[in-house]
Amino acid sequence: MNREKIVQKVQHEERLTPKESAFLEAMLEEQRGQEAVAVVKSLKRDEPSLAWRSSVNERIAKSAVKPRRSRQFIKVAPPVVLAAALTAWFVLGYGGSENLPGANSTSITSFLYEWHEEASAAVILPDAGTDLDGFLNRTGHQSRSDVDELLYGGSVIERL
Amino acid sequence: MGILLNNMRTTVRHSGDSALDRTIISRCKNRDAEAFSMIVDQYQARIYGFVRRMLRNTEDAEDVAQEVFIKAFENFDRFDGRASLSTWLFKIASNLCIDRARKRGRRPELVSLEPGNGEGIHDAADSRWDPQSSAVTSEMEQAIEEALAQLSEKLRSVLLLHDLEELSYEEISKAVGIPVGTVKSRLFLARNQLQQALKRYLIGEARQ
Repeated sequence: MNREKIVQKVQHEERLTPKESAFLEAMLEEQRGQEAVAVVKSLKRDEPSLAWRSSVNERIAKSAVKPRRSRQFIKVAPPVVLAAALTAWFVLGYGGSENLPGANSTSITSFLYEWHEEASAAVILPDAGTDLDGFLNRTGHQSRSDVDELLYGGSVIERL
Repeated sequence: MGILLNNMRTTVRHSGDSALDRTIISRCKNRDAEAFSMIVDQYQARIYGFVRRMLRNTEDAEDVAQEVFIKAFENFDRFDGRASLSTWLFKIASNLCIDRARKRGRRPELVSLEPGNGEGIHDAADSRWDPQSSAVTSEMEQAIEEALAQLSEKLRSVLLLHDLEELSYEEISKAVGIPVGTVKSRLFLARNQLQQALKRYLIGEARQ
């Protein structure tokens, strides 16, 4: 095994073959007996000062009372915003207005109001012998219904 | 409560970090400052010592060592236990040291391993050295501290983590973010540089 070649490869942090790796392991083992390694192992660890420690405690205590908002918020906010946006788009946007009665309405309030008026008119039936034109004018009932048109080819009220 | 805490403190002090009480770790995950202070107690000397030798400036070292613990506390929920707590703390320390060195405009020096004064870079152990009988003098320690300061940051971090902090190759690989093979290569080079420096010191001593 060419020792110089391995050392060169090690210096350039090149990939070693398995054999070369084993040789490097052996050299590391050999180094264990060197005095430099023993001296490093014996180096003392400095304890930081009490002032340093109390400053750490103070900063940790401050950090502990801070609400952990950022990451929680980042986790929760996107789905909530997305859900709200989808709901708004579905209810107010074209996706909802095309499929619901009262498609002309531009807001939920006007749609509900219109829907309520139609429903009220539908349940007020004229008595026998009532003046039909007067009844329609009073109730504001539309004279032509899309449903009548679809089912009977014209308004039932007109046929009466 | 106080008795319980004292018992837990004793447990932490007398066990390796792999045996750290799960209760303490889960309390730290819930941002319990009192539980975290036990971890600071246990690791402050190791982390501070590592950072001081990496930065070679006491003021920076104190600042960065504090930052290590603050970051650890604030991000404890990210500690998943796959690495040991010491590896995780040294990883934070290593990253912060690199950041600080960059801010100070210090670039890691290139490694020069040209043999000088006829000394080969791969000498076997000096036969005059007998660790059993020889005492490590404070002058020798001083010489090694100076030699450590001359090492490039990447060599120094690996050497300190392995030979002083006794982390395994795999743990160093995780802490520093380099492959295990590179850890071994750097350790080999660092030890050689240190050995050369110590030899120069010993030769100087012998001449006097």
